[in-house]
Amino acid sequence: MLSAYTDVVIFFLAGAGFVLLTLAIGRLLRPHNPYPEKLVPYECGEIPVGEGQVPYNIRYYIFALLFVVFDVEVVFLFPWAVVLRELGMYAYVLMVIFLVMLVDGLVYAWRKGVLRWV
Amino acid sequence: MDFDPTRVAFIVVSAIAVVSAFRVVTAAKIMHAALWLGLTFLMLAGVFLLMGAEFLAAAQVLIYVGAITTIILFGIMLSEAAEVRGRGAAPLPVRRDDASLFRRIVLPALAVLAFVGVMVVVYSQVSWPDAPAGLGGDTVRMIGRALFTDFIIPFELAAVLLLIALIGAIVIAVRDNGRREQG
Repeated sequence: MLSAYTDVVIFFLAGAGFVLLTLAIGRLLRPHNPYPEKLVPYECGEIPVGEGQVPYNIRYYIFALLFVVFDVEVVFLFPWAVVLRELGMYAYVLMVIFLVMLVDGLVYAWRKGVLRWV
Repeated sequence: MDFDPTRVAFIVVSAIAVVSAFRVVTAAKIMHAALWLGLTFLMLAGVFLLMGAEFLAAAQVLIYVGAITTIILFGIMLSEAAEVRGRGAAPLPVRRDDASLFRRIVLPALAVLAFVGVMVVVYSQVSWPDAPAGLGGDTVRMIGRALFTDFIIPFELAAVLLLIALIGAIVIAVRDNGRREQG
């Protein structure tokens, strides 16, 4: 069973290796000449004002919460997708009930105007 | 000891998990600590996978690496406190007196010793059950079959619970309802 994950390991190593190799080549090839003007964050030639790390708008938080709820839902979709062929229509209907209950929440969020960016 | 790819992978993955867990505690910037935490979760998913718990590994990646880490990062990004964000805040001065020596070295050492002692006792006392036959096969299929036959009511109740959580979060997070409905 585990040998099926050899591919995953190869992908993982190839991806990490590509990033590291690219950065290493860049470090070897590029000139290294930092001076204060160059180290300033680039804002189309303007001199930046204030801190780069400002508190983000609290409105992003609701999107994170929505994401978490539907993330948990996806966990249940996993075993469902595996046994769907075997259990057939029965499992399909049950999952539709499950999903409709959660989509209710999304509709509620929509109607409350949570998803609107004002 | 024979060369066992599973064992080697387990050692590599758990070593990365331990190192990144250590970096969570020692990282100077809390944003970096949160990212190290994500790596720790990912490596734990690898440990689950090596133990044959595929569903647990998938749930670990989705919920811990995906959701929990995201929520923690959001918590940091939404925070205004300078000491949380590490913005312009000087690092806390490290005092080198007896109290700090006790707190930084003696207490952690005691905690580690106590933990190791407990784990050694547990490992030596517990009789480990043999892995049930058929495990290491298609555990996701077994979970799915159980979920849609014996545990169908808890499964649908989970949807209700998630719905309650969603609505509760919206009610708590959205205070300015009246103003928004005009817009």
